[in-house]
Amino acid sequence: MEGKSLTTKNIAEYCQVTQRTAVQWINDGKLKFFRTPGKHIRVNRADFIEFLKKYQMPIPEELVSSLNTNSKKKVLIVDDDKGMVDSIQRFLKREKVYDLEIAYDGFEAGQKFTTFKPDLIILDIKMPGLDGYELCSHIRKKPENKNTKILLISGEVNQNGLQQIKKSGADDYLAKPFDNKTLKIKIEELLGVGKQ
Amino acid sequence: MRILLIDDDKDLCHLTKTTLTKNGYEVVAFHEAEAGIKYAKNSKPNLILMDVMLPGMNGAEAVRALKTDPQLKNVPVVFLTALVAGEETNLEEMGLNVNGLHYQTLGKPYEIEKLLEVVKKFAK
Repeated sequence: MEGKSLTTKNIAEYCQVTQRTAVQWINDGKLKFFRTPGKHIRVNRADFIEFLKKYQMPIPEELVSSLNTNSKKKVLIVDDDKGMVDSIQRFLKREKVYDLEIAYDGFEAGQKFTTFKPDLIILDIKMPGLDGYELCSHIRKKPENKNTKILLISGEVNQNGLQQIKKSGADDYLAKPFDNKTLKIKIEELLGVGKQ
Repeated sequence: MRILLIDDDKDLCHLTKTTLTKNGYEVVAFHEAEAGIKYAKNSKPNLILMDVMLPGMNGAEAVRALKTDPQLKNVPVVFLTALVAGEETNLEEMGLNVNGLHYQTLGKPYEIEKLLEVVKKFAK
């Protein structure tokens, strides 16, 4: 749940009330909320903390510390190979400067992209359903996504593939297998972070 | 098989349309009910995927309007929805009732497998 918004169920648990009461706070305008593209109700952590302060309720330490992670760069890792996702996720977690989200296919990634709004997507090209190129095209068709960096990853890329990568709107490409050091350099270059 | 998709969430609509098209279905998408109804009356789709919360006419109202047309009354409808009166779970089991008829729902956000499974069911 690190860095993510809260559901009415989360709020009910934090405040030790029923979910219905949490929904009522929202309906009464006491607690600010927003809807996801799927129209689920969500509450930003910062808004929830404001609400707790205003109504003099205790603020859980976990919430305050999670809020401090908001300055972290957001990275969405997308690959149908769960081993690959686990490996990248494990490595980036150790770096402790990224807020991470994962998806195992292009369709799931497309939905998560809208709510998570990543700074960078590490995106496998070959996936069932929507592949990496199609997701690239979906993301790039909206001008407001132009600042999101896209790093395509794939095992086999021939000359045609390289052409397609260039056309896809991705910012860079990394051939599998790659080591953590190479991945780190690519990510830091794309995000403009890291130690020189 | 021709599918009419009505959803005001443009991102999800595009993802769904691209995925279904890639899987061999002909998909026509609209972001509001009125335009979708007009299309349905002219083109008679084989399946309608209908968002519930739409601007203007909502999904249930749109289905009521569609079902008054004898040519469309037997076209299956699946509602796409995330929220019913603050409840966010078990939507698939709950389904939706419109004019006493029970319609299948697909809870948002939906997985690609679930979407294809539902569509395949009506393609038979």
